Amino acid sequence: MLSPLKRRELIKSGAVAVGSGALLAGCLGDEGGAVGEGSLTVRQTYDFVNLDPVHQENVTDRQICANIFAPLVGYEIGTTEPSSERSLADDWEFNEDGTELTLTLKEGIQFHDGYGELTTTDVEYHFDRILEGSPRAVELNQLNYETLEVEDDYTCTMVFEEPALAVEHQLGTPLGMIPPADAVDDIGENEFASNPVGAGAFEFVEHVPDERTELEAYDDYHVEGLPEADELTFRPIPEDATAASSFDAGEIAVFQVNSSDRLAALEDRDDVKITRTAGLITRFAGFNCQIEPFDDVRVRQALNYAANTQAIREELYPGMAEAPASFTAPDVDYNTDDVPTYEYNPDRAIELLEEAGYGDGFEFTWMVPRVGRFSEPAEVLQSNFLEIGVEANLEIRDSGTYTETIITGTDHDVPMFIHSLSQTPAPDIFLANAFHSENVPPDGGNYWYYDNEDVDTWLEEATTTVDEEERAELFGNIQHAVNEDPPGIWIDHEQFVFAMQDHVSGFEADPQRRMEFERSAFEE
Amino acid sequence: MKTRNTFYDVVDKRFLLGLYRRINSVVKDVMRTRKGRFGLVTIVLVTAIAILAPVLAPYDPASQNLTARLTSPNTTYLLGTDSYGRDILSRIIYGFRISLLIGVVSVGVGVAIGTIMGTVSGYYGGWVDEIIGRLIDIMLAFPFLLLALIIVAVLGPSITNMMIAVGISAAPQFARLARGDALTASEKEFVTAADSIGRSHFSIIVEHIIPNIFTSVVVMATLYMGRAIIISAALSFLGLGVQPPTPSLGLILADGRDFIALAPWITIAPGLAIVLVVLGFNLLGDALNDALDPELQTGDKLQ
Repeated sequence: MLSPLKRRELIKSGAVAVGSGALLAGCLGDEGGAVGEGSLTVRQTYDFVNLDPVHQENVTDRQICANIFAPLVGYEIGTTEPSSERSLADDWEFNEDGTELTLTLKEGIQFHDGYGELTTTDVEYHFDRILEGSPRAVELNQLNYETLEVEDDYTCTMVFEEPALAVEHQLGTPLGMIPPADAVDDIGENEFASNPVGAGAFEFVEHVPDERTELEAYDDYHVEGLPEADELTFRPIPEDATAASSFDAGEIAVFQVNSSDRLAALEDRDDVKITRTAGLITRFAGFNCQIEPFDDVRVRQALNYAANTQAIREELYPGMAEAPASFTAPDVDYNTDDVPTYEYNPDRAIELLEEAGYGDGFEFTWMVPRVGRFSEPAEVLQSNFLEIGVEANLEIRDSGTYTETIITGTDHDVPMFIHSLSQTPAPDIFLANAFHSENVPPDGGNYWYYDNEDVDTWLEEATTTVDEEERAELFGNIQHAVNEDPPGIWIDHEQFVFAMQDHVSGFEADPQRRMEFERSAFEE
Repeated sequence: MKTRNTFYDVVDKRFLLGLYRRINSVVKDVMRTRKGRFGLVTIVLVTAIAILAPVLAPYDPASQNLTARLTSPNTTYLLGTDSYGRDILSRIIYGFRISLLIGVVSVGVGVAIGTIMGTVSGYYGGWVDEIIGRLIDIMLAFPFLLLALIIVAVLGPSITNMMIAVGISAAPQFARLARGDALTASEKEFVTAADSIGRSHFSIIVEHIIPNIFTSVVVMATLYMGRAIIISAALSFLGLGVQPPTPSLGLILADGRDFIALAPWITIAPGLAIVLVVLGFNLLGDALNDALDPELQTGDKLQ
């Protein structure tokens, strides 16, 4: 067991030497701005954490990964429709029970840096690495197959114990993005995180921490004639206002617009193109259902009645926020409107508080990340709560601290939080992750420590059933239940809006917030 | 045997009368210069606004009116509204309150800690001076803002912690000043005399040393009010100080930063307010320094 590790260490030191050589070469090349010949500079909010598809950490990581790696099952850009053209797999098919998924790889797909052709060996190696991770996390992603039957270099079958239809959608995420097995071995697991090698449209060139991540076009990309651009650079700019002025100065060509005030100003301009789509996402304020007084469903309902989420949508984010009924976004499969909702009604809220024995109100601490799209609604809700005598003391933390506390579950005593949940077209995985009582942090995403026996049962049944009608009914029940016994306040389904310089073409806003640039180009 | 003078004996009528005369003459001296007049009037005005905030503010500084967000200055909202539709004027009026409170409390903390450290160090000398002196040097090695940032990051962001952090960060400056003055004073004859008639170290420090370092500490405290307000605005701007929706000048500034191109009034007004308060304190401190420093006074007359 020790020897391969040692070998890796040795190779790693070699890789560092090679890496610094590349760095030097990078310095000699000319600097490309947004307005260059076929070079595209894009804003990312933060610098990436890890570009190893097995260790995806955040949205930025996934957005950059999607340009370096090609997924087993790709989507048509800007849609949730699988596209065989953009997929590494020529074909993917479930058996009738939904327990076996057979993947047929395209032949002749070449990895970057001369790592050779993609075969089932690479796929197997990649899945093995995922399965080595935390068992709970593997289970959550439903990649816990029994066996992987490798037929030949291009065909393999994942065999599951129970039906696992949602896995198809996992193959479009970084979990389905296959790196060359040899490269991970050569470069070493840790180094690979910042020196990724894939089979995507762009090759990794250089990363200057907190400054830029440079990619260049990969000539042997498997989709004929793509990518359009020669270079792709991601620049981390945490501040929205700074990003906007960089955009005005022409330093970046594309950025996501998070404020409707800014959007209104951009929409008035002729030299700016806007692309937008309804996001598969829900923004919500969440309660920790185990902590008093939020362990009482009446208190949670009361705060739902007290929350004027309509004002948040219409005044803070006009044209960028869709009203939520169910927790799932409207375009998620089995989404239903047949759920109880909470119209703004402070009187009803006070009644419920009195019933629950909190007629005099109460005080609690609310942890909020220092990110406008969360701190803004939080401040409005804070003033809504005050109207019914509930005092929320905001603790605004930088997003690193916030994430560590809430998501990794190091502190279970946070009574309230606020964030958003990105969703996939199939609701199986994200719903189970968010609401099943066993999926509490740090492995799971049940940050509200929600514990509802019915929901647990329905989730288990729904995710292992292939019958469409039955699935629709079960997922309907779940959506109904989490609204009736709400662990949070659903604020909205965000629209993803991107602004681009008018000479940029071929980029489209994506419902899953992907940023794929292989068709993007400059039209001079 | 001996009649011990307590601290309360010192504060007798004669002392109070003397103090009044002294203040009166200092105020007169301060008012003679242009910067002194500006500083004093500004600070008195800002203090009056802060005290009368509930009367003066046209709106509740925390109440939101989402339908009137980002309104530019008009007759309803004299300085416009912020991104939650809160009245900026009201927020600034209350912001003065928070800023002055922070200034007074944190400088108070700094003066208390610093004066004790410095006086003890300067009076006793020897190894006590060595230890405290090195401690002061270590603290002085960190820039003011950085030290405050570190302390508040450790304690966690809140208004109380911020005042403690700013106070502790200012303390070494006061300690250095007090140490020097205490060192000089401790060599004076009246200290030797008090020591020779058997007065305790504590009463010598309280009765003889502290009154002698008092003026320089007051001048520096005034100057540090301005710095403390700036640092606390910076910390609030970074989100480590006052938490929303409490109106603090730094926080209003931070709220406005995302809208600086669309709604510049959100940042301009609190920015000017900070400049005004800080300038007021700095000019007042400067004028006080001139008024209290005998050497500079002659210099003034020569001009």
